[in-house]
Amino acid sequence: MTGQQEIQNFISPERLYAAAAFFSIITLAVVAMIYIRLYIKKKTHFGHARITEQLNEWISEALLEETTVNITMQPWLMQYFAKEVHRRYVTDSLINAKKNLKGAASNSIVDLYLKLGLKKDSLNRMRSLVWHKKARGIYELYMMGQQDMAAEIERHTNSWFEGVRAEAQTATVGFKGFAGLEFLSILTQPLNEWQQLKLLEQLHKLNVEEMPGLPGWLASPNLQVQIFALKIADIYNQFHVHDQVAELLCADNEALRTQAIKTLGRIGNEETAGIMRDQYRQETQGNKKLILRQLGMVGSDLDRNFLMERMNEEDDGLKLEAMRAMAQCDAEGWDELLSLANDNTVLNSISKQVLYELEQ
Amino acid sequence: MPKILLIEDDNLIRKTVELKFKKENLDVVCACDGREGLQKLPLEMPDIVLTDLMLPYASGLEIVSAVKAIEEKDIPVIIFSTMGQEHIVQEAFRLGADDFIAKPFSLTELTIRIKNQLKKTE
Repeated sequence: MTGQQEIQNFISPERLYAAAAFFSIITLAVVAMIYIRLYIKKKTHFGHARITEQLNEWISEALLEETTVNITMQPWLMQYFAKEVHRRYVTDSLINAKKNLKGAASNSIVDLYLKLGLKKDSLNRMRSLVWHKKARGIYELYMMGQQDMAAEIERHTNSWFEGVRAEAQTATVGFKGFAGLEFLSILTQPLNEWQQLKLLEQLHKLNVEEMPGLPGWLASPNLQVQIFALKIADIYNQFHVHDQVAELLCADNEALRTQAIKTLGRIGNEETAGIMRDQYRQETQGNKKLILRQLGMVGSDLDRNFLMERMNEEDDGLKLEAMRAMAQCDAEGWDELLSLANDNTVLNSISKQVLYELEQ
Repeated sequence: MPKILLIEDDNLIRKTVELKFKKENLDVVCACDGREGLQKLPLEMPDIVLTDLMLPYASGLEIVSAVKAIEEKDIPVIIFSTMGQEHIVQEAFRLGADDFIAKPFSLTELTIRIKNQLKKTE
């Protein structure tokens, strides 16, 4: 038998029909499986959507009731709540509703959260060893205003895990207001810029209270705590820490000195301008500009010579800041500076810029 | 019964507001996004529109513009806004919005505002 005959026997019509039938069946089976899978998926999706719709209706009715005491759970709902993933969905929905609603409905949301036993889930999450679950648990308890958990939450304000720490700090300040900032006294972990902004935003909504810990925070070994404390001293005009802030001008860290200069501009007294003038020569270019800017706020005619000397600086930016400062804090000095500028092209154009700004 | 077109993408909030209005004997038509809102607007011709500013497919500003473009009827628009949307609220007022209510809001206050607006247009 030649090779060609062997091939012809192998691809005989019967075998070809059998192969075609086999592949057709496989194709049909695959298509059927895809169809069934899509059908199940669609059914599950619509089933979930229907349950979510019913659930939303049930929650909405509960929220509009005067009290949640009489709320009953139908069997389908009991079945739904048996799964942790569903309870988590309801917790999320309630938190979202709490962000949007206030008044009686907001109280009903918390009542419902407790009645459905969702606090237990949040507690379990907070006590979990997995950091993101812990952070989530803290967030849920805070959003639902569970003040009785404040002490336990506060223990996490210096956690190793950034997410846990941030949620715990936010919750502690949310529960205790300015008194909640006491965690800064023990904070050894970083307090990043974003978290600082979040905390300041939270404090912004509250009435200012005493901050006995502020001097301690300014002397903290944690650089970010020091910077945050300086921001607080600046925003809430904490004049009593002026000298301590002035001492920070000698710090090695540039960011710390920058914030200290800014803060001194807000809580300055008659000594501040002199302190800043002494610091000027040792500073970086950026901080020099900042010092000149702050002199505009805390300076006086005593700074005239110092500001006049700045007209000999090589950097036009420094000249501009010095002129602005003079225009703000010393009227006579400003007139003197304008006459000096008449004979100097560069100073003349800078003074025109300052005059333009003053007109605005 | 006055008819309200409520456009809000948060299911639970939409349902809660809808139920509250029904309890107050107000007729409510709901839309879950901007596109559905724009579709229902000419069909329903509501007496008042209550819309969120941030919506999928079409924003609250587009809703305000569409409502104010209707010549047959002067329909008041109340917008929901959240903190940090002040500039969008200003834009909405420039486009003709009649009132706004900041989130979080009280359902009672919302109902009073709606009724006041309805009284004005009576």
